[in-house]
Amino acid sequence: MSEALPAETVLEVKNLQTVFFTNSGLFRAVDDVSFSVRRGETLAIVGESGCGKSVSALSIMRLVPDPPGRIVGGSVTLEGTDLLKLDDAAMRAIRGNRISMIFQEPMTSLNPVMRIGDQIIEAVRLHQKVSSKEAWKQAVDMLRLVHIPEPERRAQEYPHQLSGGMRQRAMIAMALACRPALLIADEPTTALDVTIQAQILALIVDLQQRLGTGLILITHDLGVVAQTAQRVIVMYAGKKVEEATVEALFETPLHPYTRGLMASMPAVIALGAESDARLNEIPGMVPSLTNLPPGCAFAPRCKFAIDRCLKEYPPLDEVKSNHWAACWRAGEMLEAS
Amino acid sequence: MATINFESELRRAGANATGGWGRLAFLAQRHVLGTIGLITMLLFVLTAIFADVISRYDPLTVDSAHRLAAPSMLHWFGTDSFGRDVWSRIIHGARISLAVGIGSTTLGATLGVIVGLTSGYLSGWVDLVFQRVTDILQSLPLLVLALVMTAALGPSLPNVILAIAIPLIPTVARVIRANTLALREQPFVEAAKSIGMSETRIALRHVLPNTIAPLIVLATAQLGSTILTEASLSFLGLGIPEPYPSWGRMLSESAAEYVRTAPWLVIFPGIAISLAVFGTNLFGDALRDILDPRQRG
Repeated sequence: MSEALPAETVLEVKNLQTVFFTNSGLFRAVDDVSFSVRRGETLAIVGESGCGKSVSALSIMRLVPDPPGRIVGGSVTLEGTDLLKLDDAAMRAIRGNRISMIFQEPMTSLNPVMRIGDQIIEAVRLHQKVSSKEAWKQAVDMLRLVHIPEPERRAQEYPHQLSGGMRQRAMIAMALACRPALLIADEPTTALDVTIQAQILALIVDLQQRLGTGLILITHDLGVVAQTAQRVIVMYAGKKVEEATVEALFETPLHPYTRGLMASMPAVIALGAESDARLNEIPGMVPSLTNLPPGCAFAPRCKFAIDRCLKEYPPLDEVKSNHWAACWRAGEMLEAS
Repeated sequence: MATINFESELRRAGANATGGWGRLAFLAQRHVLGTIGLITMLLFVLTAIFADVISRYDPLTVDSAHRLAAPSMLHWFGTDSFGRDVWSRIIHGARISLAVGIGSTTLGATLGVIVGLTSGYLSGWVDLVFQRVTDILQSLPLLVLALVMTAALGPSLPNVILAIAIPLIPTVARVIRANTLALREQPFVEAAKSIGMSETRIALRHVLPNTIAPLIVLATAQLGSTILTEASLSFLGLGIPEPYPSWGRMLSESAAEYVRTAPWLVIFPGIAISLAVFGTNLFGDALRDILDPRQRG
């Protein structure tokens, strides 16, 4: 059934709002964010630390720690079911089965006192009625699928006997064991060596293509985005500020924040400028989410900011076809480019 | 120039042995004191199991013709004021001491784990209530609490085990709770949630197994102190009832009256208690070193 409709929408997130109640007040970690993922498609969510990328992912999984966090609005529709309306037991039946997640820290995301095979078996047996022998066979098959050499032997081993890259492969095996419709990868390569990063990314993309899984890739690395994603959304201070296809975004970034992110990539500088050129940065810091300015949250750091930016929040407009940006001057940006 | 073949040296030392006797021999070499502790404990266990074979007289038979006999070939450790053989009584006393030690440690640890795990994993008001109750229990000295309980329940073996086990609960619960609090923030717990596992299952399958190492260490350390508490209770007359031999009672019966005239009545039970406690403590220390993940290869 997975290959039937290639363009079918797997996940539809509409007006998602997740807030945190803290001692210093209420802050909107995810503020009115909408996006969708199709079968076999990769959507990248990009932004600085604290922009709401990870909270968006946890909101989809309904794993936002409560208290202090709570999803207060919107809908998350997976294969026609609104996840936000499900009870806990029904949600548990979805997690690991229809949606899975890969975490940033492969070193600590596996239980140190359990064999690798047993941990994958757990993922299988929570959702499928299979004998333990059959589940073990599936676990070994999954390890083979993620290119772990000698899977029969590795399944018997404990996490500390595996390298970081191997552990992340095991995590991927665990996440994909039930062939989910959607995979969320939250900075899956950040904690790994550069040489391993490329291998893991290639593996995730290859499996996603073969299994027809929708993929949400959360990252702050635009290089990773360019390599793997079809569409990108850029988040800033809990809001979606730009959405476009990868090609359009890299060709004509319309939001000044996206431009800033691209200018901060060291590789871009190495191409054009002389070797002693200073690395570009976006001046200032992400504003405190409890005390956002009334206008555009990026305005205080934006070199293109005009008076209006400081007073009114810009709407997310479709500036050109399939390319949305929330900036008062996005039209000018488009003309200038 | 002499070349050292590290590989063969290591193999000879048993560092590469992965299982069974080779590994055990390697650990024994590195933890000499722990091995001594283990052997002492094993000796006591074997003594308790084969008490009927080793003892040369019935420990309860009174023989008024040989009252307070000094140690000799006939009575190795002498006889007490009823003419009972002290060697036989000490050997049979090992049964009581071990039954109380292992029984109350197991019971106390099990209940402590339940309280600690629930308290740490659920947190919130459950944690608050459990913690205040353990606070109250901990504010009383272990011996006093056990004393009051045996006095209320009456002296018998199950009651003594229960009375010693209950004051152990807070100690174990504290350690398990602290570990649980740290463990439930670990990414692998979140990963377990993300594959759809229920909270109860996570607590039992992921958090509990990770607290086993500190639990074993704590339990062995407590084993020695429970043997000591039993001896103290019996010494105060609230432990195992007469005429069954308990090391503590053997001490208490003879301490005041016979310490000058028949010192063997005090010395031998005293040595038995010290050796048992010493052995469990040495073993517990070594176990702590072996199970400490920072020292593991």
